[in-house]
Amino acid sequence: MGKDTAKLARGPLSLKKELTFQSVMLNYGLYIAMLATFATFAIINDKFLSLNNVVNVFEQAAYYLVCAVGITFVLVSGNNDMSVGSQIAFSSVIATIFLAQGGSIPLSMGMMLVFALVIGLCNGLFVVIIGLPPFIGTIATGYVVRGIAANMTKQETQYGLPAAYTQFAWNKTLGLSNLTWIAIAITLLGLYILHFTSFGRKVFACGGNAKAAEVMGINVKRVKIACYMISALSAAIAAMMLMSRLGAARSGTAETLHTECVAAAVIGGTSLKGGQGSVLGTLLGVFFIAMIRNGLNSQGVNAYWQLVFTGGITLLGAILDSYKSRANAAV
Amino acid sequence: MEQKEKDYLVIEDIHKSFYGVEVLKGVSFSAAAGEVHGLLGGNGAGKSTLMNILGGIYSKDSGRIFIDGKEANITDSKAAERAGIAFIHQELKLFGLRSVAENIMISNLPTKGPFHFVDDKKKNEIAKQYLDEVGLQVSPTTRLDELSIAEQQQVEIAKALSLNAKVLIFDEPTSSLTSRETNILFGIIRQLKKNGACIIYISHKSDEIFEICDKVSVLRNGENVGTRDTANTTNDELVSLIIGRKLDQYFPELPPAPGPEAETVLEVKGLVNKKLNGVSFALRKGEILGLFGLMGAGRSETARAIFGLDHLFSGEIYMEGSQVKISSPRKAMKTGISFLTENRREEGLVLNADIRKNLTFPILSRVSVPGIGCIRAKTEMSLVKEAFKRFLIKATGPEQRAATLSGGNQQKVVLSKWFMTDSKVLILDEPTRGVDIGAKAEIYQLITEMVEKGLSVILISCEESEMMGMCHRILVMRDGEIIGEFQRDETTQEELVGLCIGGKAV
Amino acid sequence: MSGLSKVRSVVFKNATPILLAIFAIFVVVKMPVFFTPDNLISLSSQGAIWGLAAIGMTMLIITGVTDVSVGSQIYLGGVITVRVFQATESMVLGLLCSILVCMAVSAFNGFAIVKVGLPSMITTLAVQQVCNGTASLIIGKDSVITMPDEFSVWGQTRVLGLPISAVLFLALFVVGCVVMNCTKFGRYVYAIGNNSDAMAASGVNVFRIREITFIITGILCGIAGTFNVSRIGGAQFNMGIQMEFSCMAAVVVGGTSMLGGSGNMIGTLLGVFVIAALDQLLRMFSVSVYLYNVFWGGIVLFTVSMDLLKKYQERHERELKNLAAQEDEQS
Repeated sequence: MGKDTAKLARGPLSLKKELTFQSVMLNYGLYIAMLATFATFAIINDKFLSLNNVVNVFEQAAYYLVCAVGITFVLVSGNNDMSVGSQIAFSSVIATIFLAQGGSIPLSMGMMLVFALVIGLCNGLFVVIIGLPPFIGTIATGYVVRGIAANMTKQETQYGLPAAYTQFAWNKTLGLSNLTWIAIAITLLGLYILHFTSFGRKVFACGGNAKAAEVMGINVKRVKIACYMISALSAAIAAMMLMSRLGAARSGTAETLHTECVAAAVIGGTSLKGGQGSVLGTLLGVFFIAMIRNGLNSQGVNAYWQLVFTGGITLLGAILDSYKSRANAAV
Repeated sequence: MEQKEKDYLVIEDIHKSFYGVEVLKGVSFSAAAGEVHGLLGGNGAGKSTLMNILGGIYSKDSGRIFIDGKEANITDSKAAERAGIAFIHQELKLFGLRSVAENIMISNLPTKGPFHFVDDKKKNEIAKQYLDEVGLQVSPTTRLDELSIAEQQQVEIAKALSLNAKVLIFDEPTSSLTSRETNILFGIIRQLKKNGACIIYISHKSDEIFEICDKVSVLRNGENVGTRDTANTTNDELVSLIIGRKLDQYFPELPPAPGPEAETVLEVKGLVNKKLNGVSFALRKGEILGLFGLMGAGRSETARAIFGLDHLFSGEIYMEGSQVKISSPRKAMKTGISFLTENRREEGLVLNADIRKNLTFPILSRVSVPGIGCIRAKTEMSLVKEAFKRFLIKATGPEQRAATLSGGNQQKVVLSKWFMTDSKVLILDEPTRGVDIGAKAEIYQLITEMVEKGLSVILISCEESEMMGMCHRILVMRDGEIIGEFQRDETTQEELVGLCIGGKAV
Repeated sequence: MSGLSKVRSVVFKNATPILLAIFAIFVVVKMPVFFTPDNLISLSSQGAIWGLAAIGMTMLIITGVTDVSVGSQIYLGGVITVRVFQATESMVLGLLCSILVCMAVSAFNGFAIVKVGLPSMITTLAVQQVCNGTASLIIGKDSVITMPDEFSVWGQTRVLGLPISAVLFLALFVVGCVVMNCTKFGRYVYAIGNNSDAMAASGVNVFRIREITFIITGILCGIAGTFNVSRIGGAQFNMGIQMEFSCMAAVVVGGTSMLGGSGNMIGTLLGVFVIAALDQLLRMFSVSVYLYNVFWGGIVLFTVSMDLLKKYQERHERELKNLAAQEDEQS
């Protein structure tokens, strides 16, 4: 009761408070950091901000963006999915083997989507129904599916995709590569579902306050499981894109993808506690990380530095998130 | 003055404000060693704030606390422990998976040998002594969560004794005990009293106060309005102290009460579950039915059971004459029941979402295109704007985050959310808790308007004035049963409160 | 209780021990080869490395924290040992540096998780990446470093017929057991896992206790890192990463609850032995190496789920008991 009366005394929203350094950094920190790093790279390397380079970055990040959009759903619903990288490895390996033996392309895609639904459902069962901690449950399913893929391939890279499949990634439509178009389409679809449909609203409600959502007649468990399935579906689509781009599949692929996706989403304003986030933010986060990677690459920075860098970014995102939610709670 | 010097615990003129709102306005009282001192008062009277100050959880703004004649400076819970104050919490602060002895001795584990290893034998022996002192016959090596709630409470008392506590605060200790367990607890308290402890006993129930306390102080609005010897006072006197003369509150004129011939909307028969012992009543169309009782008496529990949030062992629910099975809030909403829960922050609002989203969560199907689920922004916005106007929500706009609203406006958001569902029955659990007086009046007005339009309301409250001002008919609950039914003009506040706290009715 | 629910109760409460017993009987009857000295030595030298980390992990999981960075700390510590040895020819110095670095990493983990309040999984995951990246950077282009024979002295010496790392593991394990069972510190660790708030209310410095559990884990990882490289006789890319999953599997198989508050060291010893034995068995059955991960993932999913089901079952039975008591009183 004390807190409510306190808020009353302070008025609903004092503008003064909104404009402190802290709140500016919390709300616009990403943009400021983005501008600063872009400026730095642009000074070092005049090609950095060229249209060509930006388009190129976008194309490289396409599959990762698709994955991150899926993970955003899981994060907003208040859970986490650490298995997406393994899912990509699993479904791309199976589909590549299938296609190399002369299987039909639509059938392979259908197969991947069905597998995705099953894996997503398993994640949902373990985390939502049995109640495993989301991280443990999804990491463990990730281990299982990646292990199966490794066993099928003996960790050898699988080739033999039909030319039509591999060519797709390199063809351009209206000046942008097909993969970029797919990523844009998936992002728009994700944006639409999360922000403009009743299902999206329910995701926010479940992540923001599961108890209240239950009282408001929302089937919380079903929504949360559906989010896992969405994440798995987007991972399957990302796997198709990766196969097309690389012309091959490997069981060891995308090992750090889940951290990168979570980092991108969190940097883009999605909360690790659930109930807050946006697909646009995730898009920005992905773009930010991809641009920095590109900048580092063009300066010839070692790939392992980039691992260190992603870890650092993830920590930064987590710290930002924790301060943000503390600031929100203190209002 | 002489009396005061003898007293073991003296509290003088304690003030406490939260963000500029004064919750304690100079409370003073004192209790002697070997005395059980009761503390009575309605919700928000300041009992728990005062006790939290004693326990070192809040710090006081001004005022002094003396223990055994010396001023005690209680800055945190450790300092309270050193001063010999122990708090027996409503929700137990224990370690469920550890042994009973470990729980009692965790703050001062005995050690032995050159490496200061924990001396388990000695630990169990000492713990056994304290267990004997509170008369709990369990082995010190039992895992704590194998004990019943009552036994766990006894462990907590034993823990307090092991810390040499001389002042023991019991905060509604009987709320989850059966009558046999309550008797055991009273035995322990009497024993502690004999050994010279100073005991503060917070309760809602006056029969308990009369049974166990030597003196009783009544708090109202952050002040001590009277201390009495229980031997020289009556239930009536306590009731009048608790109620006091309230500020005149504005209640709107209610629409006429529907007579017995009016159509019955909702009827429940013999609801039984863990907290309910056969609750039956009927709600007429256009009626405001009050459910009055203390916390834990079964009022909220009845509502939760009807709404499908709590499991029912048996009982029947009829909606407009036909029996319905309600297993989840979804089903309840489909049959036309809405429920405003008592804690809006935990169960009412998605605090991080904006007002617009919060308003339309329960009616998403109405504001979206069927099949594909696309939100029709225009429809939604016009509904939201209408709600703003009709239900007097004051905010910077529909995009303001619910967390940043004042309590009253938050409550209006939750209320409008349920008004907009067009349900036939609305259950309101403490709709004006934590709401300022202005917003309160507006909320009452809104409820009346909706009832005039044919809504039927069940109003749950522990404020007797709200019952008298807002209900056509009042049901009084105690221990999971309905123990009285009154028409609005047939009863008095004193009668209602007296019935609730369990003394004889006036 | 009906027959069926009785069976369910027994199975839910004892699933893991039952399975372990079946496993043990199977091994004893079917695989007498398993108990040959060579086999046991090979088993113990492997298991001892991550077993060391599992000692610390047990403490962490009891306080309710999951640390997925231990494998990478072992990797980093090993690489540092190699480099320090190359520079100074001193094994002791290598060990000290390894310990110091891992201690610092774990201390950071502790600070970020306990003091700043970041989610433990995301933090340790980010730290895992940073450690992996850093270690790979230190190895540099070589990707495999082979060391002279004197470097392997520690890792390959036998004491009483056992590898020195196994002896060290057993010794430190005994110390761990004593610390957890006989000291105030150990009791506080359990109590914090049970109810951290109540512990803080009794005036114990919760942050300090928890930080110490992290530091202990760091020290153990440092030791494990040194012995790992010494056993292999050099360093290579990504050695030891993913060891955290063997650790986690051992700890949960040993009966420590992922929810915190309960568990014990002896269980972990048993768990380490079981996982190491399983590892060895998979080898002996010439099960594909690639399937190992499937097993570890499956084991974690199974044991953690069973632990949760056991908790549900216990709560259910307690409620039934309370209800019966109430009815008793009324009648």
